[in-house]
Amino acid sequence: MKNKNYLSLILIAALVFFPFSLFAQNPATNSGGQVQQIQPTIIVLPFKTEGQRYRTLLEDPREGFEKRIAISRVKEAFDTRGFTTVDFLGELKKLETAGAFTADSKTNEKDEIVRNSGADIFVVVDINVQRSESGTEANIILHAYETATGRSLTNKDASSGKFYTSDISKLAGRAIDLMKEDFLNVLQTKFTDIVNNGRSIYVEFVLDQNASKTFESEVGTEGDLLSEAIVDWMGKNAYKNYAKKKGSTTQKILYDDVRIPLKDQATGLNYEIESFGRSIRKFLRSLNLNCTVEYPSGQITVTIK
Amino acid sequence: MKTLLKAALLLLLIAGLCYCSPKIAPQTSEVSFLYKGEDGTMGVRGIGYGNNRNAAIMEAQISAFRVLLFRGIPGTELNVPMIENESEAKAKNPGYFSKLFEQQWYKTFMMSSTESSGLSYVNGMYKISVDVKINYAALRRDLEQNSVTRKFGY
Repeated sequence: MKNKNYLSLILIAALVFFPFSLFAQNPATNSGGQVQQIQPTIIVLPFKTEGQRYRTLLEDPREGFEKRIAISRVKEAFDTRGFTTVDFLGELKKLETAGAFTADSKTNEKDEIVRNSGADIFVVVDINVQRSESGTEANIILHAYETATGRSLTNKDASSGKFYTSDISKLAGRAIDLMKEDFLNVLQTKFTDIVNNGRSIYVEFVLDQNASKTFESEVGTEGDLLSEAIVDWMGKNAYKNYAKKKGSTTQKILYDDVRIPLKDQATGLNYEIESFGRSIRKFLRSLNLNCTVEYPSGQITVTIK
Repeated sequence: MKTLLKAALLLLLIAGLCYCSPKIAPQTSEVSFLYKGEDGTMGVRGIGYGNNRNAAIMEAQISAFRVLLFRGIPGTELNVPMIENESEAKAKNPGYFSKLFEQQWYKTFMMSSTESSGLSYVNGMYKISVDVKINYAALRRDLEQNSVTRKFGY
């Protein structure tokens, strides 16, 4: 009898305390509550027009070196600010090895590289070297975009001035040197806006082909239509009430700019896009709706079943 | 008679105090961009006012730093100031700015200071123009290390 009581106690203790051990902080990675802000990922790419291939551009005997130098100088500018960018050539090689870019493929190289790199921001470098009897001049345009929303963050252009030289490296360096402080400082002000007002994500609500409800169906207990319930929830739960709806159709509701905080306002921990996606899923669940949530590059796609 | 004398003396005293009171140098943004060095340095020209030559020179130097930190110089690479919100930064870091300006810590970022004009006397104050070469990269690093500004990124 006593043994049975002891066994029961041990079993109860195990049932109570074992689940806690599953979610306990791993002592090997315990930082004592310190939180390091997750930083944006930036990739620097050369400018290319429709139909051009990056490999062809970079290996062009005449202009390839100019482009490689320009990219290198821009990456250097980020390095001097203590910021490491994603290596464009490395990403290009990875995708080429994976066979992403075949001759007849309609794949958009830039989009593939940016998506595959996981970059939050991509910087396009456009260099144009003009050679004439009065000297050689390098003109550079830098343009930074936010991957998730396509928004332009900043753009600058500069010219090296004309010199009698064939050292394109120096001319490119000079042009970039003239604008890099201003370019990076303006980009930093955009980062400050993100820190203060949240980062932008793109959210899309889509109805599955076999969905049991439409956006015009009544849901919940207050007689709201599904579309209305979504709009209300997004407004309440977006950071600082910022949820800009792009438009809607019978099959989709699109938000092209929804702000989510960088840090969870309740816990101070990093707030990931998946956390917001999870909240959306739970909200729809509360309306007795199932959904799948996907996260293609800084976006949330919610497919309602 | 005695009352008149007292009144005259009082008037003289007041006039004397007004004339002799030390003038407070006005804070100005008379700073212009000169050049950018390849080594992370910046050359700027500041104009300073003071009760004497040394005070005017120091004010010109401090002006240069103040504009770099809080105002920026439009139309130049220093268009965006190093510190985006002056009042917030000063409220959060009063010790840092006291050390920087009042205890002249700014001089550790000043690589050179050259008088670019003669001393002139304007509206009761001495005025001088000073070219200052600032170690911009080191100043930015110091601001980041003291958490006055964020490192590049979030």
